[in-house]
Amino acid sequence: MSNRTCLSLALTAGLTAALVACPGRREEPPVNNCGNGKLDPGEQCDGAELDQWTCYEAGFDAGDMACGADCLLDTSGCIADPCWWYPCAAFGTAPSSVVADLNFAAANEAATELAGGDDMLDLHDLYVRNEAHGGPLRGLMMFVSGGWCPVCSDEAPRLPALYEALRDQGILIVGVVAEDNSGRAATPQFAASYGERYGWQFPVVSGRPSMAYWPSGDNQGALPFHLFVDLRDMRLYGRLVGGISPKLIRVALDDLAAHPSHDSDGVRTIDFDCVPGSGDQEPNDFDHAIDGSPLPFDLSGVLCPPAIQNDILIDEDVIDLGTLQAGAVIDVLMSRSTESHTYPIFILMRAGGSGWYQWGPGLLDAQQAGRQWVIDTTGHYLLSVFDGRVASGWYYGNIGSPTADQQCCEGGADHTYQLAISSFELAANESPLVVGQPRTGPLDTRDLRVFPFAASASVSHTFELSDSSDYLDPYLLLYDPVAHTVIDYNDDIDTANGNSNARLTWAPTVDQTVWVVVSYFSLYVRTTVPSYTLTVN
Amino acid sequence: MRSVSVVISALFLAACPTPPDTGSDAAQPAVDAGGPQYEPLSADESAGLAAALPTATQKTTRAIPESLLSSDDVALENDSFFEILDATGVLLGYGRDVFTPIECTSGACQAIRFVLVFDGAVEFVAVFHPASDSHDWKKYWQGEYLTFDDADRARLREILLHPPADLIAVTSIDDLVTSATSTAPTQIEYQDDVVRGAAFTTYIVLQYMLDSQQTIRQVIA
Repeated sequence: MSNRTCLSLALTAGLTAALVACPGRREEPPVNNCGNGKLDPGEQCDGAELDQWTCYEAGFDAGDMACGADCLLDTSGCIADPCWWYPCAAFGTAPSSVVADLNFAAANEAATELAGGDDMLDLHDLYVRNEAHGGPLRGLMMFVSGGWCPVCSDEAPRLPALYEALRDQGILIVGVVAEDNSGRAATPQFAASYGERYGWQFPVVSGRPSMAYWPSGDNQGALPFHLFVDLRDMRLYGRLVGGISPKLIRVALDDLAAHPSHDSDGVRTIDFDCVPGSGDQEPNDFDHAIDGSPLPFDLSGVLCPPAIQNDILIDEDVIDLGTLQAGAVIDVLMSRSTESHTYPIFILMRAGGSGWYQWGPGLLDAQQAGRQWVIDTTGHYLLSVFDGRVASGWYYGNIGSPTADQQCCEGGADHTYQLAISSFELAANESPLVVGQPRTGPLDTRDLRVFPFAASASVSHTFELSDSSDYLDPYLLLYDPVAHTVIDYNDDIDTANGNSNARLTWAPTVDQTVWVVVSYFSLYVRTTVPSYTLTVN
Repeated sequence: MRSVSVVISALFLAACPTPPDTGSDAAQPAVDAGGPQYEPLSADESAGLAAALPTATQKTTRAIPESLLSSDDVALENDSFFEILDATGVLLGYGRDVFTPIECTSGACQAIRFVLVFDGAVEFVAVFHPASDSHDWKKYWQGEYLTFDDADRARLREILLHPPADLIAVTSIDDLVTSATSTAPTQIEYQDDVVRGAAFTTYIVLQYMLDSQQTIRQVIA
């Protein structure tokens, strides 16, 4: 039995078995030649000569194999932890979830150095270089680009300076070249030349993350794509599609370097709030400040323009409206002065209602935007206010993308806004609705159209609200003007099959006049007033 | 009635391909290294041509002179077209594989790939997306991007067969939508001219169809 065979058996079967299988090992220690640095008969190792044994080969997960003074292998530096290489967790693609151990083909020297000899740069190659493993790394930004992508080419030459500014904080940038000039999968050779073209000294690889990492429904697969990973725990810190100023990326990466993502219990929104031109924090942070206070609120605030759209780098002011009862009616008006560049946009969200939101203004108006809502369900509501200038697929506006000197409140640009939230008395503002006579009209800003309808006891009526342009997601609500309560409401007739018109069927138990409230759930923000058709049968 | 005549003419073109251009040596089998290089159609091409040119089996690639190309097409390597032939070497038509960014107006770039197919008289007959390629055609509908379905593909082909004059006249893609984002609604006046929710794609494919038709005619003249 050779030394290696014997030791293999030992490490496989356990120490006791090893002693049985290799009985002479302890009784006849190889003392005579031990220490000469050469492997002699009876020795498992000698000094630095480990007979090619590693902790991994010896059944451990990681660590440094050593040789004891008795020329027996010393495994005390080995680590038995299957999660040492990579976090043991269910992988996901949503922000805050642990990303899978993605791998890419190394395309330059910096990537090859990290790859550990197999020419594949895996995320675990980076994880084992984080601070907990004795390395310098804290955060990662993968910049996914393509040779054909003009916006990628705009941003790519700015990354070296960004990397130089951040690398001492433990931030690594990896240039992931997904496609070549003709849209085909990039080879490592193409990726290398692409990186050289833009002076990338940081690791460059070819490949692309799965489409699942792109925000769903928003330009999936579009380039450039930025994927931020907290290398402390391999959680997805954020992602964004589209070109962006390095200044904004730096804000995100500074935050990533400074704060482990596990401090956050979910998706993180970076707060850019500041006093214009000063860089100071915004003085009026509304979060949770007015819960329970009675309406109205008159507020003013400061917003930085959005440059990207998903999960991070959105400057939003969240106003906690507290609990609103079903049947409550609120009016929101957001405006700005002529000096401000902020583009008023807001949405109403129900706290804890994942994905639930109703768009605020439906009309593009750079000066002011308003909307009225009838609250259909008692609950805790939030109003999210942000700058709607066009800079991504999510936002709308007709005054152009913010220039670099307008971003992050630097350069003296004014980003203030005013917000007024008040309750009001719902009132009929249309003539009575008649069976079989369709009603059409526009839905202007701050517009709820309220139709009285006299219903007879036990007669079933079907109300249907449609839109003539497909721009509007109509929303229909029946309101009891005496009890000030919501009788019923509907957003979509058939969401699954794309019928976003609204329909309600109702039969009162007694003769009753109700108000049929015409509104919308969401819509394409646009410059012309959308119209509706309301029928009752 | 109009649509019926369109279908009939398309079938006629498919069944009775135009005789090969005798000025080209494409109809001759490759016998020496100096002649055109014939290669079998890829699986994607065979599938894409099955309806329009069902007897197509091989192709030979021809370069487009740089003087006929835009700088973008040079960079994107849209610098060739191919002659489509049957098994006996008879020219059936022409194809052009195009890859192009579809829009970057919102700061994020999407691209599409498509193959334009013309008959022997360089009249448009079909357009298809190579199934194995990831740059499929998308539309923005009900708040999300969706891949074209069969009806959308048929609608696109119909538009290319009968290009709307007002769509041809559009000079800027931004004029098609109500604001400069990829999710902005199509202007009402163009809604009937485009695949619903895919104004940019429709416009760009149409422009490439017209450009390719002219280019191929110039090259083979």
